[in-house]
Amino acid sequence: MLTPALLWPTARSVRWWPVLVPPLAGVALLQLVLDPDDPLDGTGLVRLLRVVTVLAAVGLAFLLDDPSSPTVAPVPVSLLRRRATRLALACPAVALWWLGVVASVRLWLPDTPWPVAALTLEAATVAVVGCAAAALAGRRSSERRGAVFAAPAVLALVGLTTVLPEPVALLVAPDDPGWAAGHVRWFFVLCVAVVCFLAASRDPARR
Amino acid sequence: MTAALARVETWRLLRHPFVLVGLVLSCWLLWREITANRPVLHFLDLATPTALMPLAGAALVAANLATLRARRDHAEDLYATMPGRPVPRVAAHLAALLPVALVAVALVAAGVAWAASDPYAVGTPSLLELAAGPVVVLLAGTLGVALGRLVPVPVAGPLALVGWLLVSMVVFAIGPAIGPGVLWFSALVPDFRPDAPPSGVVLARPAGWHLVYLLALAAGLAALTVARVGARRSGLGGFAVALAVVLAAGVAQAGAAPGSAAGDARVATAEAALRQNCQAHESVTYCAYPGFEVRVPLWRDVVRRVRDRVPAAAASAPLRVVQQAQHWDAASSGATGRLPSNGPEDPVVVPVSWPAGDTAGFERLRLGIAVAQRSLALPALGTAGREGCRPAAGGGVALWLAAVADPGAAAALRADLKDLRDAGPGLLYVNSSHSSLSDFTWGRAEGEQAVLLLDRPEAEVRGLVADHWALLAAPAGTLAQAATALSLPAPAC
Repeated sequence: MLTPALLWPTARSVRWWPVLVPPLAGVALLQLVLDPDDPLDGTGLVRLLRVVTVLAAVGLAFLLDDPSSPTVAPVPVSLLRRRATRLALACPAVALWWLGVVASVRLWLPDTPWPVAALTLEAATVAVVGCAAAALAGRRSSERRGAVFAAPAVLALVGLTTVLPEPVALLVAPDDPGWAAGHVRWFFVLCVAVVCFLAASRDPARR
Repeated sequence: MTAALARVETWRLLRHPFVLVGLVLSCWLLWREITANRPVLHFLDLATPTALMPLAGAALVAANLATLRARRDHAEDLYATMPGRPVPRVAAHLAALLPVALVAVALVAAGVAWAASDPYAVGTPSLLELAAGPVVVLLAGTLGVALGRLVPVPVAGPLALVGWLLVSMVVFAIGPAIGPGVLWFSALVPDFRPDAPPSGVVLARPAGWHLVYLLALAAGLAALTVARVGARRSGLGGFAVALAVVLAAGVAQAGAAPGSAAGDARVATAEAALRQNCQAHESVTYCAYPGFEVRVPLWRDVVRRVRDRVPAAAASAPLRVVQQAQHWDAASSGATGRLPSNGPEDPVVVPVSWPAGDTAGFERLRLGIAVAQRSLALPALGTAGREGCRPAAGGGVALWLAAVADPGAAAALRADLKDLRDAGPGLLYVNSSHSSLSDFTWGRAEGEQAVLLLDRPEAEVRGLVADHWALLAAPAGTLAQAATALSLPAPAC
């Protein structure tokens, strides 16, 4: 699937700063708000980490923006493979970033319990939704403009989730009895987002 | 040229998917706000700017994207060859925000008109508070256009929106600790008190200064944008004037905010002028704040249902039902409250807000229990208040009286009991109130007994209650004795 020879040229063609600024802003926010002398409770911490992951997803949506797409469209490397190469470049950095977030929370608030696995699922879902939105938007307009739609779309979707009624709520508090059921729904959304991303990344030649 | 461009930009902005989604979300939030309680218009108006926030966020992002369109399409070099300057294009983007703000005005007007059509609506909305929402939409859109010119990258819009929300959260988290007027430097200044105030005057909010502050902020951003694209002298001049107005209005609003000396003086004067109007129906006196008299039938309906089912002597005892704003304390902006005492001789207190829809059943249940509690001379605390598990005898019957003729209250009773069962021994009692009022608090023992009584024919239970009224109202009676008298299993607690 991946062609190692493509990694370096792809890395050079990515405009990194829109990708990096939002997650770094999230880390800065974390450092500003976390205070060992006045620790957040579990609910407050989960809320803060959700904001941080949404920021990261906004940045990740810009990863798929490819100004060279009209030029490279005829080459025999499929669209999915080109996008997978971009994601492969970002995956280690995103994983490291998330590990850094987890470590800094553990360091600053060692006594506050919080559900790492569940929030990792939420973070992954929001990130994939951002990528899927960028991929879908790329189909409608010129490919390089996907993030222009996707970044605000992530915010709009998160805004929608804040008003979801209880039976389908996603932003559940950790002490809420619906926490486990809520994360089954998160997993479902993740699966739908992955399918949407793959479907939107089919090479135009095969459509 | 500007007018023609503005028409095109307006049409594009109004059809933008984000604006449409924001509009739908704002409609939903406004609908939720209006239908939560029987409308108190001088309190509902404070919630409209928050309800319009999705539309404001959408206007920010969509206006930002529209301003960046030429840059995205690499048309700026082409535009640079034309004789026209970029100022008319920026002016068109700014002018396109006015129709979006007008949509917000129409939404607010429709929402308030709908709320006012409720037969139990009270109060008069403040036009200054209602105008704040559309002006926030205008301000957000102007910020989007300004960012498009000052920081011309697509990620700036979404980041600015997240930043705005975060700054608002931080201002609300730490603002009150810094000073009472700090909150007013945020664009949105919602009111989080749990109950509506009895009148808009006692809020003493500096709404006029805040509106001037918001308008000057929008004007300042617009002037800065115009200065950035070429009209340097007039743009910077406008920015300087707007900045002066922002500072003056900001200081004025902070000085007049509740919590400051001047604000508290206004609140105290307004509170001192508050009087209740009382009216007697049979042996019950109902006292309501001016304008709230239309809600007396809502309370009378509950009182009558309970007193129709108690013996004549208890039903004709004098009773006062008094409206009182809950957790209303001007000096600390609602941090503490004047909770009523709730002994058998004290008046029954009803809150200023009266819920609508499903939650109304909880409030009717609470009021019904309070009335039954007076009739049965029950102590304020049920299960939790008696040592050694000896709840007062009339507890279960008080709940039954409140719920038997009111399906909404019965559903609320069953929901509260389900919460008690689900919570196990951790939750000892509830007080059936969604309005912070504390009345008779009851536990599982009373709740289970009331539900068993509700499942039996009403006429049969009424007969039993009438026969054993003396026991039920006796201060020394216990729930176990009441269970024996009413042919119910012994309570477990």
